[in-house]
Amino acid sequence: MPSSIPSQNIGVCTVILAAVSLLISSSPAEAKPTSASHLQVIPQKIVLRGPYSETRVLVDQQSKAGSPVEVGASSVMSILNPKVAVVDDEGIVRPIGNGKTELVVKYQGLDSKVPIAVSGVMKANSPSFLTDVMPVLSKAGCNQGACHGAAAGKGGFKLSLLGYDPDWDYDAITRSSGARRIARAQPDNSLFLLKPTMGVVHRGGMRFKTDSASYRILRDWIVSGLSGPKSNDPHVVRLEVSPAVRSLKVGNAQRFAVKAVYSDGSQRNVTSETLFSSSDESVATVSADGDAKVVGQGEGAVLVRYQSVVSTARLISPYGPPKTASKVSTGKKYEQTAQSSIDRLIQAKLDALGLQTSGTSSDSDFMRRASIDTIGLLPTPTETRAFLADHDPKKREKWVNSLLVRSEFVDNWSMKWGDILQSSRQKLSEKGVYTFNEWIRQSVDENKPWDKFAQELILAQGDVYEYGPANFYRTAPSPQELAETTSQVFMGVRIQCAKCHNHPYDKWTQNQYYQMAAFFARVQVKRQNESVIYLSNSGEVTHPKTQLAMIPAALDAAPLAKDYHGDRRVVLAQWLTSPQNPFFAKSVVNRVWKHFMGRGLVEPVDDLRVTNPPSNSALFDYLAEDLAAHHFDLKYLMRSILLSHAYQREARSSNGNERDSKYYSHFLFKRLSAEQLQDALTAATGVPEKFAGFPAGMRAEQLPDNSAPSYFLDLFGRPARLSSCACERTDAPNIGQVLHLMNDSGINTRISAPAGRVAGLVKTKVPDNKMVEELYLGALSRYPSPEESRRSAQVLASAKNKELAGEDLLWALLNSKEFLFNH
Amino acid sequence: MLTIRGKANNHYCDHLSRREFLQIGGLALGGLSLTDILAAEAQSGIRSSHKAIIMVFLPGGPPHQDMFDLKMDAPSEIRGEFKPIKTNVPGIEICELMPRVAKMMDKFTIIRSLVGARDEHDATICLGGYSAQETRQNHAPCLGSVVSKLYGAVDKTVPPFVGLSVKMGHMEWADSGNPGFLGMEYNPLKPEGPLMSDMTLNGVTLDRLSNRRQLLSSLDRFRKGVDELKGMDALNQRAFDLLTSSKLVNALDVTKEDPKVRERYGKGDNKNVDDGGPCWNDQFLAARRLVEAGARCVTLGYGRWDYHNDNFKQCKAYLPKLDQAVSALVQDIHDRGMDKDVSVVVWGEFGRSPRINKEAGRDHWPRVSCALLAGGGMRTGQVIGSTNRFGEEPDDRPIDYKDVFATLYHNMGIDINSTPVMDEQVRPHFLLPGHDPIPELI
Repeated sequence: MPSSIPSQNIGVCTVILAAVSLLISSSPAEAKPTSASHLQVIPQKIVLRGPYSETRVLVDQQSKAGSPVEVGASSVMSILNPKVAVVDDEGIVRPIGNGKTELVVKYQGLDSKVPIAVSGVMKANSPSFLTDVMPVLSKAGCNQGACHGAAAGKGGFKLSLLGYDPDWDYDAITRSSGARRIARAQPDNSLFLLKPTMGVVHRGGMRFKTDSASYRILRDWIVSGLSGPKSNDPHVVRLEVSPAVRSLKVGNAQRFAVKAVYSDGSQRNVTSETLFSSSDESVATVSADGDAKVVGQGEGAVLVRYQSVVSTARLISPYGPPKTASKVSTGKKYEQTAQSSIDRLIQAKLDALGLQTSGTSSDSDFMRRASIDTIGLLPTPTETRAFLADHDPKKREKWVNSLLVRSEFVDNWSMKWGDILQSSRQKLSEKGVYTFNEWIRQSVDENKPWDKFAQELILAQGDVYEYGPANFYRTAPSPQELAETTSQVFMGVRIQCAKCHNHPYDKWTQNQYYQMAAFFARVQVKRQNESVIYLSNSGEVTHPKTQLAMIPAALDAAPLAKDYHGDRRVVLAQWLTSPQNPFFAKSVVNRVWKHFMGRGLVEPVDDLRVTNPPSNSALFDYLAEDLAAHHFDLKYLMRSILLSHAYQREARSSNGNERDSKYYSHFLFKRLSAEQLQDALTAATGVPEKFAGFPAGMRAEQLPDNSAPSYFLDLFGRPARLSSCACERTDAPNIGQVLHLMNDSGINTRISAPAGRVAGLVKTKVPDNKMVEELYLGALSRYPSPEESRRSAQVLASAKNKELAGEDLLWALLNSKEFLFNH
Repeated sequence: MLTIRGKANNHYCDHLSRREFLQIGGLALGGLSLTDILAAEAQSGIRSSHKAIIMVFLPGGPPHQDMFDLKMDAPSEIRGEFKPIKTNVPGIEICELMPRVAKMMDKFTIIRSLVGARDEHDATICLGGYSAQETRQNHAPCLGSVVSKLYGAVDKTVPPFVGLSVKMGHMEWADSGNPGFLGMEYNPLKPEGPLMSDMTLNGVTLDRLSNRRQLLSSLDRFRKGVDELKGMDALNQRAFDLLTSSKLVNALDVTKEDPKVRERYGKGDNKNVDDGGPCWNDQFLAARRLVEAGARCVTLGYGRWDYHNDNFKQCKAYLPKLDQAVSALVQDIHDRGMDKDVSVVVWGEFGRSPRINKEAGRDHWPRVSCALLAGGGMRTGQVIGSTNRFGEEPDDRPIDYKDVFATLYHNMGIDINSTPVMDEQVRPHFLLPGHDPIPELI
């Protein structure tokens, strides 16, 4: 029986407490739902066909004000004629015998009835292996990675991971180990049934009981003759989750029902066999049975998985009272710029979530922020003074435009692309790094359209020491790795998992993985000195299980024509960069967006998949389409972002938006990257860092790869460039970094160097307040406030040794969060 | 037994340690401060009770048949020079050069049938169970990194994973453990180089540091009201704590220990033996001190055991030192009531050939070797497995390095076989599939 008490093992104390709180809070208005509310049972008519059919019943409490709330978990459900159907605690109705009856739902004095019709239940039923048996194994967890789905199996019994290989599973269950798992003459004595029900010792514990629906299906399957998987069995093409979207408050519960749609057009309710999980457990948690509970604010997705197919439903939990979408004219009346579209789409999301925005950042904050993000450098004191003195209302736009054409722009962005393209000596040798970097720098410098950039890499061949992009083929030496790298770098799709089995959180199959790899089957590296990339006339990628040569096919695209004899990569490059590819534009948009805004629309930044929905899908779609429409001009995209209000908001949270870190209601603090921070130290102290093996005066951002030994850069997260994952570069703070900034003898020496900023200012005998101003402009790119100026000047004035006091002041500025972060 | 079990998103079902219990208790009583809780913990002695592992690696592959598996019935070209002695466990005999261990054999378990080694001169297999070759392919993290990832730090000023191995001529022996696919964050802290020098004040007096600190806190524009940066404030605080009174530096400083205790360990020598590690007994003591301070895994490389020549001469020189260090450590752990929580393992990358070569040495022998285990709540005073009469192969009960690791994880409260370990891309990996804790030990 369903119970209104959420937990079964509730203690005596809790019950007493609950009673007390009831006494305190029960005012007549709150005690009972208003008479205006009523129950809406979904579906309104239950039709069950066949012995294994089922339907989950959802109960919406509709009230006049606000959106409906699902109360299934706290309702009492019963069935008038239990010989026709039963309903369990999870609200799942299953057939018992043919006939008609009614389901009665009661909740807080309200009730509702829906008719039930059952047909197709016979004495002897024969479940199908694919549609009935396999889902039981998945739901019970038998084929998970920790259990029999492990690469080595468990206890001598191995199933394919999450059931991606039904033929293997059928064989393992019915034939392997001398067919010992099935006893057809005595079905209940089959190991296959005794193990999961703990009839014999099972290290995996009790998976289901002998009176469960799961048991019944497996038993019927044995009795009816162990029918196997058939190639023409319909397979699931799509899952429908209901409700698809729900707006709820913290503390609300919500159940979901899942329907599978098959390749032959048939449909089936599969809720009880579906695996549920939550995309963001700080917003909502969800039990394995699909009972979600809203625990925090924001937007979360409930992920469902059934038979290798995945889908999602959205739960919205507003921070404050949602606003009705502000009417923004979409007509031709106003000029629509990309930045205004960005702001409109962000505003719509913020309104739906009831979030307020922070104010606009100060001129100095904006200037520093845009400069670090665009060219990787702090603005110089001269630039800062000029900018702050400028009264042109368009000065921000002017500043952005000037940054986008600076030569340091090339340093900053070549560093970024060099990371994910793995431009490192370890992979390419020194000469290779040189030509590869030259090509990257040249491409950034001429603002090469991103599609052209990708095409040049994929179609590259020739001498890697002469033709830069050919080095791409040395960063990933096998067709498989090339498929992985290409997918991750240019589509943000991680297909690695599908190398050994179907992707467990995405839709990619093992076949698709090897079809992708087949595009690169004929790329060869000349063995002599490993320096020439060429194409051979033969060579195939074979599937590890079937040993069949794979016909190249891009993800979800048609396979290559059989009579195609040209360079296979041409087809891949065309598909990759075509507007029909949903991932190409999005992947680069997400990277650039994250670079400026501090958080990708999808996180991790290079992990785009159905089960990882973006925080603002309308904005994501818009940006991708807009970029494609502008011929993949990255500077156009950057400019749009830089000029948006969203980018120019204050970092400090206000108006209750401090809990938002996903929807851009305020700017997000970002720690400077390792190289940016090293160069900022140079700017602030006036003493450059010398990198061994590179000419003096070369800045950290200009280093071609990570070969310069530097404890500082490693400590602050410089990547090894041995992986195409953006996660290799980290900005996670740690104690070593803080200690190093505070106490490294090298940094201390730079602060106190005779050629440094402090010594220079003392030498020229500038007045105290002027010295404070110079140190602030140099380190923080702003004037000190009157209060800061007064206090700091006092420190200098009262010091016995002005130079030492100046060093201490600079040290304090360099160790402040304001210096360490872009804000 | 507290156990971490597999659930995809790093939730541990029944993992409620005493420490957490204390904190929950504190909250229920109306909010004790962290200092109160730490003080309460110190009083109740909980500080020393977290699960930990001290891993002693013997670089080069120690001669198993001259230490724990003497073959007195074998012909002289195999038998070797040493005699077995009785231990305090009837029926177990070990080499005469290890009398101290023999006297407390009830606190040890010997595995005589260790298999799974490769002919590789790397510490790798003794740090995570996978050979160097396997690790290059699967990027499996070592035990210390996994434990750091799953448990985090006990004390925020002491890293959970400390590697004490010093630089060695043969660098593959000096490995302290590699985080593999977990990422750099889970590297062992090696108390040497820039980090150590950053932990002691550099050219700035304590007075000046406190001046600077005051200045910093009075000037920082984001010092208040910025939630996102609170973590940075905590880090700053910890850094100042480290610079002013360093718990980690103290733990490493064995001169702070009772001199009698230090003598019991035998100080040893910090000079490397040839291209191997030093026989630096102080490191055993430092390892214990680090565990007491909050480390969960401490690794160290001891001496050099690659005896292709003069096997017996070298054993005579170094085995007694090892005997002293190991016996003192295990006795100490028992004396301090840490024997249920702290596991100790002593072993090398492979065994040595039964036949003695022309140089009176023994060559590489990956087919079988020995391991010495203690503490960790394991059943001790026993020998597991045996080899044939020449010590060439296991006779019964072959135990893989990976089985030993499954046991060590078990001692840490981790069911490694069904606990997904997430890599940087949040892909789950199951380490050591098919390897279970050794039933004789648990």
